[in-house]
Parts: sequence; C-alpha cells; structure tokens
Amino acid sequence: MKNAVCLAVCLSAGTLAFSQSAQWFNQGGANGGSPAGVGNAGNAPAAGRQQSTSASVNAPTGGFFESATSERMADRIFDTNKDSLDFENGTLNWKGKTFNVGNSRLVRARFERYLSMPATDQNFDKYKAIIDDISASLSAENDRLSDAALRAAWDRLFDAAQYDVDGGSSITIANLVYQSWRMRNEFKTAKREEAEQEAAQKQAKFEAREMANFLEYANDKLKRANPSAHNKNTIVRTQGVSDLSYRTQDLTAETAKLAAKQAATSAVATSTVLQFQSQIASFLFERKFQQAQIASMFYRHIYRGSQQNLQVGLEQIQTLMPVSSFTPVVGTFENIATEARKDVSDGMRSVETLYNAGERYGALERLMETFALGEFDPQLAVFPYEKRKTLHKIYRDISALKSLADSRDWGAMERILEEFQTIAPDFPAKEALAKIRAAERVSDMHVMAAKQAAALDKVEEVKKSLTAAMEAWPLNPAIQTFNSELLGMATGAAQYVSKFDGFVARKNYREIAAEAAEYALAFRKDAARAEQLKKIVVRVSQIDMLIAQAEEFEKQNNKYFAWDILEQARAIDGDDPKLALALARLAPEVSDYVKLLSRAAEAEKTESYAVALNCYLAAQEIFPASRQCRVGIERVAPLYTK
Amino acid sequence: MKSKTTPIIAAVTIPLLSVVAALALLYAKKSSDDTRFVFPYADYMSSPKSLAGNRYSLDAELEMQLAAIPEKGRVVSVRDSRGAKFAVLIPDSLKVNAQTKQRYDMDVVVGRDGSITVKSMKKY
Repeated sequence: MKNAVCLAVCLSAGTLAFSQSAQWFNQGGANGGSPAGVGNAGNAPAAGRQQSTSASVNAPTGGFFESATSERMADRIFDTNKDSLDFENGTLNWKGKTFNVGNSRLVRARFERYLSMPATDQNFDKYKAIIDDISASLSAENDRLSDAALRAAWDRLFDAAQYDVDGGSSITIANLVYQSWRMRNEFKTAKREEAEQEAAQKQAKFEAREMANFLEYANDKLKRANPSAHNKNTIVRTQGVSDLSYRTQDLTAETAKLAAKQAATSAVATSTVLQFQSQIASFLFERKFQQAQIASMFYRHIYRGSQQNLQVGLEQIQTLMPVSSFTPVVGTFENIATEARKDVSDGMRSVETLYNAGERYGALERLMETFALGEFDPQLAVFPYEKRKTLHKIYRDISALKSLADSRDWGAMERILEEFQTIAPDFPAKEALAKIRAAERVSDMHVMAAKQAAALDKVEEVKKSLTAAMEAWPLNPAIQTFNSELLGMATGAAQYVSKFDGFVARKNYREIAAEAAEYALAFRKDAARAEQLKKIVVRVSQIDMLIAQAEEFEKQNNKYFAWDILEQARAIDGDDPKLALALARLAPEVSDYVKLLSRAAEAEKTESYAVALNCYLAAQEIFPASRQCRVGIERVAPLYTK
Repeated sequence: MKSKTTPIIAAVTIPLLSVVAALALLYAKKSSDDTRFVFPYADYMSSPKSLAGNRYSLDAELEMQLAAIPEKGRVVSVRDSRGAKFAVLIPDSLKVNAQTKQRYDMDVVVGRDGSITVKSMKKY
C-alpha cells in the first residue's frame, strides 16, 4: 500500500520532473520499497518489492523518473524526442539543441530562488520598448546601416541598462561594440602608418640603389682614367661605401619592423573578432537569448564578409546543432536566440493564462518548463511576485509530499492534498487521497483488532495487530492512544468501573458506547459488566442504524416511513438523546400521523382498546404501510370488548 | 262489442299502481327510520366517550375482519359512505352471515369504552 501511495504521489509529483531531481526520485524509489503491508500484511512486502523492482526496470536511461507511469506523466510535459531535461547529465534538449543547465540540485535551487525573489517593480513595458527599438534599428532589413544610426542604437543600450531587469547585459554588449569600434580605428591608424612606412621604405630603397649605381659608375671612371695600372682591381673609390652600407642595414631593419607591425595589427583585429564571437556564443550557451540576439545584430553590422564565419565555438555549435555539413555563421546564433525567446514568450503567456484560470498546478508545470529555457529572460523576471509566491507554496508542498510519502505520514499528506483542492484544484490528488485514506483505514482496523485482542488478553495478537497497524501508518494517532490506554489500563480499570456504573444509572448509554473500546479493556476480567457493555453497544448501534435509515427515507421524502423507523428505535430505547433529536426534528412534518398514534398509545394505556383500534385505523389511512399501525391493530383488536 | 283497448289499459295500469304503492310504502318506512342519526365519525374521533349510549344508523361497507372474539363476536373494519374507516363489533347474537365488500345498513350503539356495537344490520 505504501508503494501504491508512493506511486500515486509520484504520479502527481512525477509531473514535476523539472524540480524533482534524479537523486530525489531515486531516493524515493529506493525508500519506496518499504516492507509495509496495509491491505495484506503478509503479501504486501512482496508486492512492495515487486513494485520497486518493476519501477527500476522501467526506469529510463539516466534514471530521471522513478517509474514508467511517471515517465508518461513527464512526457506530457516534455516531448522527449524534442524538448527534455536530463538531470543525470545536466542538459536541456530543446528542439534538437542541447544546453548545459547544471546539475539538478543547482537548477532546483535556482528555480526556488527565482520563485522567492520579488519581481522588479520597474516598468517592464518601457524596457521592452527600448529593446524592441534596438532590435528594429538593427534588423536585417537595415543592411547598410550608417555609422550614425548604429551609434544611436548603441546609445539605447545605455538606456536599457538603467533597468534592473536588464541585469547589466546591455552594458556588456555596449562594451563589446565599443571595443570593436576602437579596434577598427586603431586598425585604420595602423594601416595608415604602415602605408607611410612602406612609402619611406621605398624611398630609402631607391636612394640606396641610386648610391650604389653612382659608386659603380665612379669606380669604372677611375679605372678608365688610369690605363697604366697593372692591377686595375686595386683602383677602387671608397668614399660613400660606408653610407651605403648603413642605409642598407637601416632598410633591412625597417622592413622587419614593418612586417612585425603588420602582423601585430592583424592579430589585434582577429582577437577582437574572436572576443566578440566568443561573447555571443557565451550568451547563447548560457541561455541569455536576448543578449545573444542583440549582440549578434550589432556584430552583423560591424563585421561583414568573411568575418561572418564562426571562428570560435565550432565544436560547441556542432553539439548545439547536430547536423552534418552545417556551416555555422554568426547569424545562426541570432536565429537560435530569436526562436528561443519566442518559446519563452509563449510559455509565459501560457503560465499567465493557466494561473488566471485557477489551474495553478498546470501554471507551475509550464513555468518550470519555461524557466529551464528562459531562466535569464526578462520576461520571467517580471512575473508577478504574488503569483510566484503561490506557485512556490505549491512547489514546496509537492516536494514535501514526496518526503512525507517516504515517511508514510499519511495524515500530513492528506492535509496538503486537501489544501490543494483549494489552491491548486487541477492537481491530480484524488487517486493519492483515495489510497491514503485506504491506508489509514486499514491501519485503524488493525488498531481495533489490537484492542479486541487486548480485551481478550491475547498479547501476541495485540503485538501482531499493532505491528501491522504501524506498518500501514506509523504515525497513526490511534496507536499512540491505544498505547496510552494500555499503560493506564492497570490503574484506570477501577475508574472505568465507577464511570460505567454512573452512566448506567443515569441511562447515559451513548457516553458508554463512545468509549466502548476503553471499557472493553477495563472489563476484560469483569464478565458481568462486559456483557452489560456488549448489550449497550448493540442497542446504541441498532438505534444509530435505524436513525440512519430514517434519515435516508426522509431524504427520499418518505417522512411517514422515516417516522415509523424512528418509532422502532424508540421501542429499543426511548430515552436516547440522539433519537429524541431525530424525532423532534421530524415530528412537525408528520404531525397528523403522530397525533393519532399518540392518542392510540394513550388509549391503550387507559385500556380503551376500541378507541385505540380506531386511532390506529385512522393513522393507517394516512400511512397504509405503517408497521406500527399494523402491529397496533393486531394487538388491540382482540381486546376490543374489554 | 267489447273494446280492444281495455285489456291493454288494465295490463299497464295494474303494474304501475303496484309500483306506486311499493314506493309509497318504502317512503313511509324511510320516514319512520329518519328518527335515528347518522353515525358522526368526526365527533367520535374527537371525543369517543362523549357519544357513549347513543344509537346511530350507519351505512357502511365491510372491509375486513380484524379479530374474532369468542362468545362476543367479530371485530370488523368498515368504511362508511363518507370514506371514514373504523372498527365495529358484530355480536354473534345477531347471527348474520356478514360478508366483506358488501354494504350494510346498520344500527349501532356507542359503548362507554368507546366501542361501536352493531345492534342490527341489513344488506342493501
């Protein structure tokens, strides 16, 4: 039974797949196989083990859900082929894209923190208008956006950053854009300097060549002017050689410097592009879709051509988009972010609609789904705090249900589930409640059996019944009461005898019947009083049964029949207070009939049997099926002449 | 010559006169019976013993026998012409073969104990 209740609770709680971690569920599953047997103390342990085994066999890969049933419930939330959460690996699969959301404990903590955080009271509509304005300015339609327009959009980022809901992300994007612009300016300056250097280098090269040509010419002329010299190679002009040599060295050094500078400039440019792309990728992987969307738009306008190709996060983007021959570009980030934001927006609309329709449990489910994807989206941040508070309570109660089921505290579970009927009427509590009540009843029956066994001094039976009662419902208050009774039995027996005799003297049988079990224990060695007690209990039970029957007939608008039944009860004990109340309540409704019966009874008392007979006959005319009249007629007719 | 219509007139007149005579006798008898009062059921039910000793006429249908008291008679429930149901005693001394579902013209007396005893009864 415990397993059955666990299963029923998990059936409900299982739908909260998001919050209930693999560990959480697995603990429940492991503990769930309790040896408690409610319905059948003998068979239940085996059943419990069987169910537990079945649950583990049916558990899906990753151990996210406890059983196939709860898995089906989870499928209702997440289409596992497309969108799903795998807490084992800490991933969210959304439309074929996989995001890392962190382990279950962290996600649960973040979700609880989100639910308990007050919503920002700033005007979200204004913030949204700013973001929409920026998006519109940077949209793909404005392909050739002027620097001034881009600058205007950039300025708006600082307006957006004024709002708490932005969380400073607009400043991050603004910094990235600014850095790109600065880099571009530096790049331009460097390129200009490089051009100047190249020009100077060309000039130096030209001058060196001119000087070398002049030296060659001067040497040739000198050799021709000295024809008598034997070795003409010894005749060389040396003036200007050193200068040429220095010039050549300088030129070589300048060329090397220029090459180094060009390499450095290119590296700075590449680094800035990489930095920008990295930041966009980082936004996307962190599920900060609004930031990724805006940053991608700025990137598209700042960098063009080959710079649109992704140079960072290729591996990750392949994980995100597991499609072969896929060529990712920065625009891919923007597309994913836009689609995700639309999903978040739809999710929050659904949450609001369900909440306002009173379907709070459904709203909580949708909010958890939406949170998994849009945790950092401003639309979640502005969800009203009062609503969050209500959903937080439901969330906490559902978490508590699981731990209460583990400890088999059916009473506490019942209270929570009953409260759900008010605050979350769409929560599937009926099945769990039915099973809980069945478990409670079974436990109570075992306690009753223990009391009966105690009355008969069957100690072993008492132990067995109490064990069974505790297995079914360890915290059953009746067990505690019974224990107290057992403890106080020795000293309390005399008190019970005195109390019993007093009630009997006053004919207060109902008081006795109310504590019948206690009296039975006290009189287990007092046969006379035990017999008297038995008669009293039987009598009160009969009266109660007749009163219940009468109430039923009264509901069917058969008031004379009801009265007739109450008269039967009166015959058992005319002084019963509960019966007196029932009679008093019904009497005005059947006054004509009652009046005749009263007269008949009075006439009988005064031995006016003829009058009594005629009163019974008159009453029978009102209610022909009257048993009382029939019996009265049969009784007094033979006495007609007396 | 004898008239042919004389026997016919005689044949019609004689039975007619007989019927008239019978009706006159019945009327005369009825007038003499009207000195008795009809049994007042409502008065009886409100105060049975106040009618003790009174004699009444009662036209009623016998419904069922409620009891047979040895040496006394039979207690029978009757329903009068107004639909009221009550019990009367038909003493054995009347020696009538009373049948249920039959209507009787009865002469009844109310006793001190409120009992209603039939003094005479005639089927009608």
